[in-house]
Amino acid sequence: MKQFLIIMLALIIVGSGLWVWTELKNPRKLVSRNLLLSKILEENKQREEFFSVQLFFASKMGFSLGVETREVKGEKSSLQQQIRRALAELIKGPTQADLVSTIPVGTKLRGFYLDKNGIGYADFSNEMIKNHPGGSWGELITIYSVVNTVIKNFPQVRQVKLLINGLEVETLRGHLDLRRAFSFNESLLSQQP
Amino acid sequence: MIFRKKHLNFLIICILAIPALIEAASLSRRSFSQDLAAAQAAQDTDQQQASFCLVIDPGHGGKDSGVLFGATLAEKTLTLSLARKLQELIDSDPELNIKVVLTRVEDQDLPLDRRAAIANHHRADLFLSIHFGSYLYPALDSMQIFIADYSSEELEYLSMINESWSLMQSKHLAESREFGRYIEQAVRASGAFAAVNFLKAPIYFLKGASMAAVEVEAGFAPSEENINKLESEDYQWQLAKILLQGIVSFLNKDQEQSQFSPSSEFSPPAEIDRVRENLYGQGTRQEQEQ
Ligand SMILES: [Zn+2]
Repeated sequence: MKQFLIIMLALIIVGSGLWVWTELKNPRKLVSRNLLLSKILEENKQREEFFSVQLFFASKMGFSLGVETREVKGEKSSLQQQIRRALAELIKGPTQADLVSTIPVGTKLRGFYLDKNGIGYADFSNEMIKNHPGGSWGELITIYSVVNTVIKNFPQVRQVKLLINGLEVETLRGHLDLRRAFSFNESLLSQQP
Repeated sequence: MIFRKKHLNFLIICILAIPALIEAASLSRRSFSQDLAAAQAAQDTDQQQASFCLVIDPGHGGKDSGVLFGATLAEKTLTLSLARKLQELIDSDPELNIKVVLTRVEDQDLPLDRRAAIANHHRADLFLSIHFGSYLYPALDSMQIFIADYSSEELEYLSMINESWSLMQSKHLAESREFGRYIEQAVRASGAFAAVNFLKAPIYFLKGASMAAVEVEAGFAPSEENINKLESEDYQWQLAKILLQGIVSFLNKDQEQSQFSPSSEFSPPAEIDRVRENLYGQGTRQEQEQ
């Protein structure tokens, strides 16, 4: 009985080994498997491919917004995912020396939603208010750095409305009316020579 | 019942008292109507004396400190101090014919909508909201002059839901722009600021104002030197005088012979632009015209 079991086991091992060997030797199957493998690799690569965004930061030089172009991962991701990635880059701040960050320290993007009328809702964490220095100018530059960044790179978004912790707020720090949605602001762009 | 002499005396007293009572009543009525007339007259002369009403709104207050300059100097303190000085300047010159009302006279909480409501209540001709900003960049002394702004969708929506309060200022934007221009001219002419920006923005507290309404925000880098400057009485008086110049120029705009006529008082814009160009290379002025 014991011997019989050993023989059966050996047969199974040898059989499956033969099957794998013939499978690997079959040129047609080999090609299709390699194709499948390269297809998967290709897809992963594309998902990791970059798209370029123009980020609007405050200019140190004048009363305007300056642009920094950056490559962001995820060209194949959905529109809302792409917008979230672009805004995450905006939150990180500029790398160019002539630009300054417009989003208060510690602020997180909680989400970005787009409705069927082309209005985007950028939902930020409470730090957007808590850590904001205030002032009409300060609020203006913060709001339009977000609004311009979204609309410039994703023209499907017509207007942007800012939310804090998922809710509509009256103002950031008592100046600009956040109950409305904002369009792209042309007049705050720096006049490049 | 026996008719006694005591009763007769009482009756006589009563009869005699009637004319006196009537007299007293008419007297009191007369004095009341006289008081009323006097009050009316006083009000009339008050109205005659002050041909304009200016409501000054010192930004922030109470729990809302506004921007902080350094560790101790709060925007709410600066705005009230400057507003008081501007009021004092105007009150000390009766020839100006301007009645001044402050939206707050102490360090108190004041909701954003209340500020314009006070101006509307006083049927003010002008609403001037005063603010200060602390800017890391651009690190220049600058004056930002804001008027309200509405998007077309917003106007449509507010009309649709019949939100008359927030729509109020949309009917006075032309006056506000003109008022802002005169303030801008006065600030530029003073040379007190390295940059002057005239902007249109959805300023929350201007929206309910049913008159020419402007916000000024004087912005400074948060340096020790600037904090000392902002705290100095002399500097605050200087700022008050600049704002007064703008206000007076606007109110006298139709009187060409006026000593405040902007054509005789202000430097030509070209000269100012040249000065600015030297300071920053390129123009930094942001103008938002329709
Ligand atoms: Zn303020």
